[in-house]
Amino acid sequence: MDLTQLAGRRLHVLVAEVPGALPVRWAAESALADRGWVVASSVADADLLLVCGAPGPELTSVVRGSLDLLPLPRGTAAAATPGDAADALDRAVAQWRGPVPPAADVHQQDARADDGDPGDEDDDDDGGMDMDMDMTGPGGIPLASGAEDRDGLEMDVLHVPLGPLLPGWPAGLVLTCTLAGDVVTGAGVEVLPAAGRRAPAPLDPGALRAETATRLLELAGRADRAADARAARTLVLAGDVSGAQRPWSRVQRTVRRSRPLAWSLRGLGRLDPVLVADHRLPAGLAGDVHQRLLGVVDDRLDDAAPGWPGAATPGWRSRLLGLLPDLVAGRELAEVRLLLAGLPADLTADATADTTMDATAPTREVSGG
Amino acid sequence: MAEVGPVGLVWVPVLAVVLAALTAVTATVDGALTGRADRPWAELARLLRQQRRTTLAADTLLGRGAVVLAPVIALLMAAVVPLGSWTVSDLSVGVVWFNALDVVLWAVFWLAGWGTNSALSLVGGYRFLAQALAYELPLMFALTAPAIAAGSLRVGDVVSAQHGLWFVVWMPVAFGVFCLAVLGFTARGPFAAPAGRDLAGGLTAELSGVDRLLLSAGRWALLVAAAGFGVSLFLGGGAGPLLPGWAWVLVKTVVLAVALAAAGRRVPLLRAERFTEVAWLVLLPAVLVQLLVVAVVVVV
Repeated sequence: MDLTQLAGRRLHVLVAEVPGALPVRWAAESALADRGWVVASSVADADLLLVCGAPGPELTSVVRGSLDLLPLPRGTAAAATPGDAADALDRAVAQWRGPVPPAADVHQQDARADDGDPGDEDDDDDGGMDMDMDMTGPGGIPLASGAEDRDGLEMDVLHVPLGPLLPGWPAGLVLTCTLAGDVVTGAGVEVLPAAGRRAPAPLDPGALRAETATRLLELAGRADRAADARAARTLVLAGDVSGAQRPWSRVQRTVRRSRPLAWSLRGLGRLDPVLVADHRLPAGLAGDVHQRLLGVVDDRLDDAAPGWPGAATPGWRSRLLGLLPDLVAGRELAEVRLLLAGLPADLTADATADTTMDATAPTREVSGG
Repeated sequence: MAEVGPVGLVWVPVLAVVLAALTAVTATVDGALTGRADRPWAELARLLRQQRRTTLAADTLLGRGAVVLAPVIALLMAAVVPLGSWTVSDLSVGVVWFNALDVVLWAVFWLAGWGTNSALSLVGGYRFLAQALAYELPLMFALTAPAIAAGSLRVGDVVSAQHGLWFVVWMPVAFGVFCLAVLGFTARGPFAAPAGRDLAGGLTAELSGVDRLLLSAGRWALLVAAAGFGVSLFLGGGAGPLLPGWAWVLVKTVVLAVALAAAGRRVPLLRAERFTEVAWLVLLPAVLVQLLVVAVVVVV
C-alpha cells in the first residue's frame, strides 16, 4: 500500500458552514465519518476544505483566503445541499490525490502582508494576528499594544478575530476580540451571511439538541460522549429515533452523573436569568454552561415539542447576537468558547445578506472601515 | 534480581529504536481501543505527505527547535530507565535527571506556542504553564518517595529496592500523583487544554506536516518514556515470572502508557485554576504525608 492510500484513510476536513446550512454540515459530517475521516480543528490541520451552503461575498473571501493557508496537498469543494455533500467530498479528495503542485504559495502570508489590504481576513479562522493598527512590526504585522486587563493591570493586548471557521462555532460568526493574555476584554460581533435571501428551513429539534450537546462535550474534553451525541444526531436525521436513544442515553448518563464534568463546567458562561427575561430570550439559556448542558440532554430526542431552549419571541437570535459583546467581555477564552458552543447551534441561521446587525454591535475592527 | 549495569552511550541509537517501536505499539493499541488500529499509521502517512507550513514572522529557531526537542527529551528520559539488567546510563542522580527533563518540557511547550506567532498557539502556551505550576510540585515530591525508600537517586537502585514488594503497593498516593503529572506534561486527557479544540489545536494550531508529526509523536514518546520510568520507580521494573527482565519492562511500560491514555479520555478537561487549587491544597499535603510514611517505614 502506498503512502497516499494509507493517508487517505483518515483525512482531516475543515468544514466551512454557511449560516442556515446546518443540514448540509450534518450530511457532510456523516459522509466523512463513513469514510473514517475527521473534522479538522484548524486550517493547518486540514487536508480538505468543504464549503457547506452558499456563502455570501464576505464569507467567500474568507474561505478563499483560508484555502490558500491549507498545507499542500489539499482539495476543496462546495456542497450546496445535503445531497451534494458526499459527492463534494469525492471531488475534493480527487484534487488531494492529484499530483502535488509546486509549493509556490508557501509564503503566501508574506505576500498578503505586502499587499497591505487591511480588509483581508484570511487569518480569521486560525487566529493569526491579522489586525489593523497604526504601529507595524516585523513582517508588516502590528505590534501588541498595552491596556489594562480586567484586574486593572497593564497588559499587552492583541486584537484577534475569532471565527468563522473554528470547530464548534456558530456558522459565519466573527468575534473581533481584544485579548489580554487569554482574557477577552472587548469584542465586536459580525455575522458573515449566506448568499441571497432565504428563510432557513426548520430544523429537527432533536437533532439540534444533539448538535449542541456534541459541541459542548467536544470542547469540554469528553470526545467519547461527543461522538455518542453525534451518532444520536445522525440516527435522528435518518429517522431512527428509537435507535438514537441508545447513544443518547449514554450522553445523558455521563452529563448527569459525571462529577468531574460538573466540577469543570460549573459557574462558567453564566447568563443572568434577569437578562434572559429582559431580552425575551429562551428561558433555557439562563444559568451556567453546566446547567445548559443538563437542559440540552434533559429529554429524549423524540419529543414532539422542542423542550430546549424553550419558547421565545421571534428575532431572539439577532437580539442575542447583539448582546454578545457584553456577554463575552471579561471572560476567559475557554469560557467564551463554551458559552458560544452551548447556545443553540442555529444561532446565526437567519442571517442573510439583507440582515443588518443590531445597532448595539460595535463596528467591525478588522475591516479598517 | 540481577544488578543493573550501564551499557554505555553507544547504545543510544538502539534505545531510540526501542522507544520508537514502543511508541508505535502504544499508539496502535490505543487506536485499536478507540476503534481503528490503523489510525496512527494513517496519520503518520498523512503528515509525511503534507507540506510544512510557515506563518508570518514566526520565530523559526525557537518554534521548530521546541518541536524537535519533544522526542529528544523522551529519549533522554528513557536513557535512565533500566531494561532488565541493562541501562544506557545509570546516572547516580537518575531520578533528578528525569525531574529536570520534565521541567525542560515547560520551555518546550511554551516555545512551541510562542514560535508560530499565532495568538491561539500562544494561549496554548499560557495554559500549559498554568497547569504546569499545579502539577510540578506534587510531582517532585512524588518522585522523592521511591528515592527515600531505596536510599538512592539511582534508578537501578530503586528497582533493586523493590525486591519482593513493589513500591506502588505502599506508595499509592505518590504513584497516583506521578500518573496525573505524566498526563500533565504530555498535555493529554484532563490536561489537554493547551492543545484544546477550543483553541483550534492551541500549541498545534499552526503546525502541519513534519512539525505536527514531531510534536504529536513526541508527546506519545514522552508518555511511553514516562511510563517506563514509572514502571522502574513504582511497578518493580523487570520483576515478573517467566519472561526475562527486559521483556517485563517493555510489557509493563506499554500497559501503563495505554492505561494512562485510556484513563485520560474518561475525564473532561480540567480548568487550570480549579486544578491548581486541588493540586496545592489536596495533592501536595497528601504526597507529603506519603513521604512521611515512607520515611518512618525506612527508619524504623
